Amino acid sequence: MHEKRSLSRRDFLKIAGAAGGVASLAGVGLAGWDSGATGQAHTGWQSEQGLVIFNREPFRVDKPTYGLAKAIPDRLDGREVIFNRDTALKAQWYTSKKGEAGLDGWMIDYYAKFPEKLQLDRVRNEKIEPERVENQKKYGNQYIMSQIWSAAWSAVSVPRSDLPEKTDLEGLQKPAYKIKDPAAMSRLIKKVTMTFGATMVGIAKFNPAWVYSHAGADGRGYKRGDPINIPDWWQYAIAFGVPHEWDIVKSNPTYGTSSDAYNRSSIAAARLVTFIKRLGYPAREESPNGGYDTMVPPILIDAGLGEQGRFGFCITPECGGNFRPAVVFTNLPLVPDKPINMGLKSYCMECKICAEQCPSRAIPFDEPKEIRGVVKWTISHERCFNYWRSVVGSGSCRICLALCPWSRKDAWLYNMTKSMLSRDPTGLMAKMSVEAQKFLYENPDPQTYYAPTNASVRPPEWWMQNDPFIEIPSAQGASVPIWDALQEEALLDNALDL
Amino acid sequence: MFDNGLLWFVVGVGATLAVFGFNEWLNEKQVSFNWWQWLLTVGWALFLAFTIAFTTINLAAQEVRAGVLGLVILGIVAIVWAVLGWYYVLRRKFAKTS
Repeated sequence: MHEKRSLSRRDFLKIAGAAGGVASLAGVGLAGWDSGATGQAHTGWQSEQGLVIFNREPFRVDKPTYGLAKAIPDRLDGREVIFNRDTALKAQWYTSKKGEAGLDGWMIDYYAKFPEKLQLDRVRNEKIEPERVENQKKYGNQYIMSQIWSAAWSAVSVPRSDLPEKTDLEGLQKPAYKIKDPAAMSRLIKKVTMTFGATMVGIAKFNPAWVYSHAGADGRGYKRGDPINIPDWWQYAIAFGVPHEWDIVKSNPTYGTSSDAYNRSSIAAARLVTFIKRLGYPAREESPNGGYDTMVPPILIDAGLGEQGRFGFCITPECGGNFRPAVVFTNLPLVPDKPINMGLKSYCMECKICAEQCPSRAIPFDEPKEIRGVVKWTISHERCFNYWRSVVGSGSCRICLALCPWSRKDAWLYNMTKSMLSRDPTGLMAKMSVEAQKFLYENPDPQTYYAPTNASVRPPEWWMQNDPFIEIPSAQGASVPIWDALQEEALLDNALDL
Repeated sequence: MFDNGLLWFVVGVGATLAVFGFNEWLNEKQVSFNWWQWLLTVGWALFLAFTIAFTTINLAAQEVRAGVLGLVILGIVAIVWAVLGWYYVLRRKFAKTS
């Protein structure tokens, strides 16, 4: 006969307590896993529900954290922008087959002032791009799926704008509705811009210093070199951002693309322009697909969306640099936001991960410097673009924004860290965080991003790979020498001193 | 999937049971804690939970190195915390009551 055993109240509580403890720890672990893996952690995807929230009010300041050496900074000539300059160089030097004799007066003057830029621009066109064509044949098949995905994003686009006096005034509601309260209208504009797809929205007083002095290329009603006259209805700048698809960003540079966020931000801008015009007020989009008359990052900073980071982007508390912005100019009565100081500039002074990890060494290690009257970080656009043009697959790069510690997912662990960084005036948290970032988180060897290794920041997700979806020849695997930016520059007559 | 109210309800119930069960165990052993001993114990439990969460969040976010290193470093701290707590607090209290 078995002795009947009864469970005492105390034993029951002890067993239940032990089981409860294990269940709690397992639950915390599961919640943690979910916080890191779920699509809800892909920052910005929740935007249309207004779920991405960083309360900027405690961090508002009267002046932005970039410095001004002049009361009114000089305007940038759009022809200097490397994409425009490269297009002009291709047409004048190479397509015309006239070489240096084919350059127009502006290009001659510019390259006389910056001879090292001509050398790097020529290296790109004469060496890097032809080598990439060969590398693409050898290794490019691996990245076909992400290229197809990128092309699909570009399939729907918004038309490019014409001159302001034409496009900005088309389709206006007449007479314009009288605005009751600019503050209320500002809240409405932010709300509807989020419904159009933006993750964060801010409003700045229009600053003419950020508008290009001259058009950089033919288009938008301008001829290259035409002066850009500022119409009097550009009084406010509505600035907003749309995040990149997460998995693509993490698999930069080879699988990377900007087409998704370019497209989303451009379409959001076009919708916002229509919304404002239907209220009866002129509006002009400055967007990736619609075109630009202006630099964008300083407008985002003035509108309080973030601060300038070491790699030149506006870094926001929600997305870090992992987003693409657009701006709408208008005279709809609004109330501008103040800029913010969330400790980002101090953090960037300590961090330098982007500079250490940039395969082209385009990102400066030193402090912000004055350029055109603004004290800020400026990258070497030539080095950056030369690396872009060497990348197999995407032909572009976003490693800096993928590895920026502020670009991490919308998981509580990362958000808590960013919140603490923003609230620590001593800078101690920043120092500790930077050390933890460099010790704990994987930062690949920058040389491995070059052919023939063609590494990515993190392995690509399943849906970016060819297998098991399509039959395609595998890479030939032929070895080519790793292209070394610094070694290449050392061969030039004037080695750059960044 | 797991990040919902039901999960946190289960975690809350589990944590409550763990506190009651632990207290019952102490009563059985006729050991009583003062305020700082409870503080150290609850702090250790929260630290253990943070260790697990840090590891799983980073692993799920494809930050494998951070997840593994975090588990090792924070795990060692949690073990040292537990051993010191046992050696300097619990062991002596149990010795007094036996």
